[in-house]
Amino acid sequence: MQQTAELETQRQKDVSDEVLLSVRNLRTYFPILGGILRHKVGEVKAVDGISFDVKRGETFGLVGESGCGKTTTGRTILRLQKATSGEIIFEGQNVLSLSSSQMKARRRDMQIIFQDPYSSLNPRMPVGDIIGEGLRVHGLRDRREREKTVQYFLSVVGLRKEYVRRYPHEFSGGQRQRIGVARALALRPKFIVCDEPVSALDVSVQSQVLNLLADLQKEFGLTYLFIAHDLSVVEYLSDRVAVMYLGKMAELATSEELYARPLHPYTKALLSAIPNPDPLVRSKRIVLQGDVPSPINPPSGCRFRTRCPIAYERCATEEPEFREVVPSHFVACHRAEESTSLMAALIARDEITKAVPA
Amino acid sequence: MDGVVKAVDGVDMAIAPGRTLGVVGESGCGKSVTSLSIMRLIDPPGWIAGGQITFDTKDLVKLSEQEMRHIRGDKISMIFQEPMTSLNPVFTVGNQVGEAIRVHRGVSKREAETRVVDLFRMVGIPSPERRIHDYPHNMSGGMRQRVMIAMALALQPSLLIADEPTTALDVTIQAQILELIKDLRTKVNTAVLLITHDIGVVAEMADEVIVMYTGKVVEQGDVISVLNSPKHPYTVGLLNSIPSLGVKNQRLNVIPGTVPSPLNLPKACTFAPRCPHVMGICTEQEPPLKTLEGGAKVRCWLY
Repeated sequence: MQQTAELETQRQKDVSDEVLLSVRNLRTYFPILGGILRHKVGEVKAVDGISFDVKRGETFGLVGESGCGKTTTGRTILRLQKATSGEIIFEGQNVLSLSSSQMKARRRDMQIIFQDPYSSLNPRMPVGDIIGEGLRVHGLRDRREREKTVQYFLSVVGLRKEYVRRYPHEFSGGQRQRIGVARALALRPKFIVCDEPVSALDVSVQSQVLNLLADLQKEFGLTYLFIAHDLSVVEYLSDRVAVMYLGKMAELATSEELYARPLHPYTKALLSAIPNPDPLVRSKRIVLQGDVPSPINPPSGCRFRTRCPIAYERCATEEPEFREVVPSHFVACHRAEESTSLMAALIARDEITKAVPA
Repeated sequence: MDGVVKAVDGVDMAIAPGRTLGVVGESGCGKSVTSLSIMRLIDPPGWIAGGQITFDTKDLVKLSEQEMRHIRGDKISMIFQEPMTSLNPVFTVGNQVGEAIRVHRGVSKREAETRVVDLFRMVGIPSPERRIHDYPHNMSGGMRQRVMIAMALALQPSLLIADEPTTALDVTIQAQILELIKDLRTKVNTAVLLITHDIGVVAEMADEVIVMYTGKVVEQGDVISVLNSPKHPYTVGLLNSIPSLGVKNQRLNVIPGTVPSPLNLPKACTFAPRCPHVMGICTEQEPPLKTLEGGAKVRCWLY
């Protein structure tokens, strides 16, 4: 496939340097209640101290596997989940310290598209009401005005205006997801958390929704936090990508940089694990041993050390700092500078490429 | 009755020992129903309306349920998509894997247990002597899928049907499972019928590929020709609509429209309404599955 200059400009976005959202030392813990008196016996440290900035107009990708805390991060930013500590600064204001009426006003600017198009739409509400509900809550009382706005956003997402009176069950998965997108757009927000918006859709429908999200971003000047576990999808839409593991951020870089020169061993394993759709390409892949540890009792020091092929003594005693190893490329690994050569050697000797350890 | 859904409508496939056939298609194309039909696991009101399933000189369609039970688990076994719902929650995993061995080989419980420990070790479950006493809920998704694989391979079947074996798993765990299946395939020389919607998995695992759409085969051939030089417009569209690593800043190709409802399929070629190369004949006559030079098969009037 060729990349022409024309296609490049088509995808040019207006990413400014202005920070729209700043997350500082965010922690979200879920209590585990036990015993007869149901008091707290432990905590699931779903998000355990992450910091990052999202610039106005950009798509910030957040990837990781199940249990890494990416969905909890997205939900905590919107206060759909209670943060345990930290700050979420949106346009200069700490969202976590707002009263409920102040937060309500802020919600116009921050919206979400959910993963499951089947459970995220109220089956008893017609589509017009689903999309228009937010408008009504935020004061657009005139019914005709609301209907006009709803019809406008229906057409923006490629659905017919007549669908206003239909119910969710009358639509396919891809169409339902478009309704979810219309709902998120209705209040003309500045920022949208896209929580695995295409995971539940068939491949050919995924591309329709991804193209739609890209077009809408340009048209409405949106900023996205794009959460997904499918790395190819994240790379496609994102400007910068952060990789999470067990509640912490392992690596952060521009998407080109991350995919071309990953430095964290986990990121390398993650990228290597993606099966290549070209049957002629037969590269050796990194196979991590074991399972992800529990977030209730994460390993000491570096959380990834129990599965890391290049872990050494320091990794057990000292948690690695999330530092800028290369300009604009952040990694939390004591051996970030030598990870590439160390792992290449292991792969060449076939030491980390087998499904079953010898 | 509201109508008949022809979930699978005239599918031919053949797998040789040791080879892997990938079946690709999106939801509703009939790939899972095909595999369940082979295992004779279609529940009423569904039924096998016609055709033959020849396995080792026997036609499975004509066998009695008792005869099928001898074959299932022993000669043909299956790995399902959701390991949690496919394992019985009230029995230990050791018991479940051992059950097939006891039933089909008539050995004692003790002996079956030894074999299960060996199997668990073979599929990479650490501390197998302890893990055989675990219940499914004590294990992670990846571990459970390894248990399913152990169960499926326990009796060294000639045919292994893997229906979306890694879809519910994280990508690093998927990598473990795929490497494992490849490893075992070489050791045991099992033929594999691999059903998936993930083109990457097909590229990696399959020797031959079948692409299905609305219950029919639309393209068939060896994996390199189907994936690198696809012929049917649906295959082309499908392959182009996947974002692949390293290819950014281009609009993803889109197949317009949606998969038609099986109760209301278009006349003649079912892909015609969405096809960028549709011609007059496409809406009048259904194209037959034609064999091209080189062995590939396509169901399309363009050829």
